[in-house]
Amino acid sequence: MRELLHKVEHPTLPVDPVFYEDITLHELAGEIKNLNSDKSPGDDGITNRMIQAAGPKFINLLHDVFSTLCVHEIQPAAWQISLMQPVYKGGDKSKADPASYRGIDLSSALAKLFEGILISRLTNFTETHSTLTENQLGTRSGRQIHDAIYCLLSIIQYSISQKGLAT
Amino acid sequence: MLNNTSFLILNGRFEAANNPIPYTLQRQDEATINDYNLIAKQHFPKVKTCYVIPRPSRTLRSKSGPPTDHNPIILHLSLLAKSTTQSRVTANIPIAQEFLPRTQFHSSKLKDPAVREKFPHAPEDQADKAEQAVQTLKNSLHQGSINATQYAEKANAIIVPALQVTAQKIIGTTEFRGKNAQREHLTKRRQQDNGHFSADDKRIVAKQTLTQTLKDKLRQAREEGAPAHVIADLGKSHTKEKHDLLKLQHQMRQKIVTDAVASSASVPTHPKTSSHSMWDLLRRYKTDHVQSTLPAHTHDNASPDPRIWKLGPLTLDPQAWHRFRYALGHHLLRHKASPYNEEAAHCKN
Repeated sequence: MRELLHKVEHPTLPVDPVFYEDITLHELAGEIKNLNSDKSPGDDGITNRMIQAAGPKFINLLHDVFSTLCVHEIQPAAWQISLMQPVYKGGDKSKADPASYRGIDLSSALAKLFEGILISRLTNFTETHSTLTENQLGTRSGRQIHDAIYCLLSIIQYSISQKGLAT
Repeated sequence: MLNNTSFLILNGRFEAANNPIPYTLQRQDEATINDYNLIAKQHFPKVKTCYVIPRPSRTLRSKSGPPTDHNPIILHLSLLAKSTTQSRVTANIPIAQEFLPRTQFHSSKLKDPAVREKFPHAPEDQADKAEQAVQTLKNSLHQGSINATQYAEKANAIIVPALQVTAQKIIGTTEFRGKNAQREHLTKRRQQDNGHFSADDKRIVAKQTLTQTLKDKLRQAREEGAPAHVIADLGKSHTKEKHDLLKLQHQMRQKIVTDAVASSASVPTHPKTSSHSMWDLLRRYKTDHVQSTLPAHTHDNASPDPRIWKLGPLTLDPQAWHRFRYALGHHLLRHKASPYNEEAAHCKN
């Protein structure tokens, strides 16, 4: 069996530069600019607004650190810690029942910034190479569930009209 | 899964090593069974008792449902309503680990352009120091004296305090207030501002006053221990007035929007429909004002390889629904630029 497996030629897929290129300063600056200023901070208290207000020296420093972290594919343990803030759902729900609360996860702003850069790269890759099916509407920019609902209704309407069932 | 930060309390399923109990997938549908409890290390001192409910006899089991090897576990934790220093001492939990308010800087001060301008200049020394420290770390990483994990931890420990020190200097931290303290603070601030916080509309002001009066009466009745039916009546009246107030506020907001849209579209293009309907105004806006940004070509999965989507012209088959994705966000049904073949689909109206 092992011999057979060795005989199978595994296709070598080309690796896109997006997966090994260093994070550029332009990329980081763009991501910082796009941060939502009104988000709550994580455990360290650093907000997106503070990162946006920090000067170019600090951004250079962040760029240096982020590039190294990206090359070594690692992140600090503190970035993996998040605060869970229970928010009461309201209504007649029992306050003693944990299910009556919605858990809001507050992660480090720096961690989210780093993840944002990686997400931008991956999104760019999937959109340019069309690796996702056109039917994938969730978690994609410019697409929404209303599209699917509208299409479904259109198909139903068309099918009914074709069968002469339209009123 | 198990590490030094967690404790796993089993229910005894694995206790008999020499006589392993067979695992079954069957259990009663309505039964709630805890297989185990996983608790954080810091809460371990709070565990008062922990025991497994004995397994019922075979006859009982056969009556109650399919056999199962799951046993409920009872875990008693001594949880305090309020944390005190004494409780922390007895529980042997460090203060820093529990109930310490998190750092929150007064970030909204950065909305002020003057403060925002000041912020990047203040941490110059902090940024210089941090830059040097990070450079040293990087050199150490390249030389192999530290590994990547250590670099990540130390770099984070340099950057975060640098920002925190600057924030502390320029914008300061926010105060932590309880619910009552926050209410008092807001009342005080309103009094200090001496501003006019009531709505402009007289009907809304009247409703707000009535709602507040009922709310005060309800609180007073509760404090004085009034009969239950009186409290219930007051509560109902308060809820009704509050609902009416919200409804009125919503109507006022809607009126502002409809007035604005109606004034922008003064020439009625759809005289048959009522011009006061919000939906009609929205539809009119979409039909008359939306510019078509539809691409001439779209991707199609005609290839046998599902990963490859070929570029091609739009077809007018409504069943190829993904091709209409571009049109759908624009609400172009019955629009002159719609690619939808409405005649073919026998769309009436």
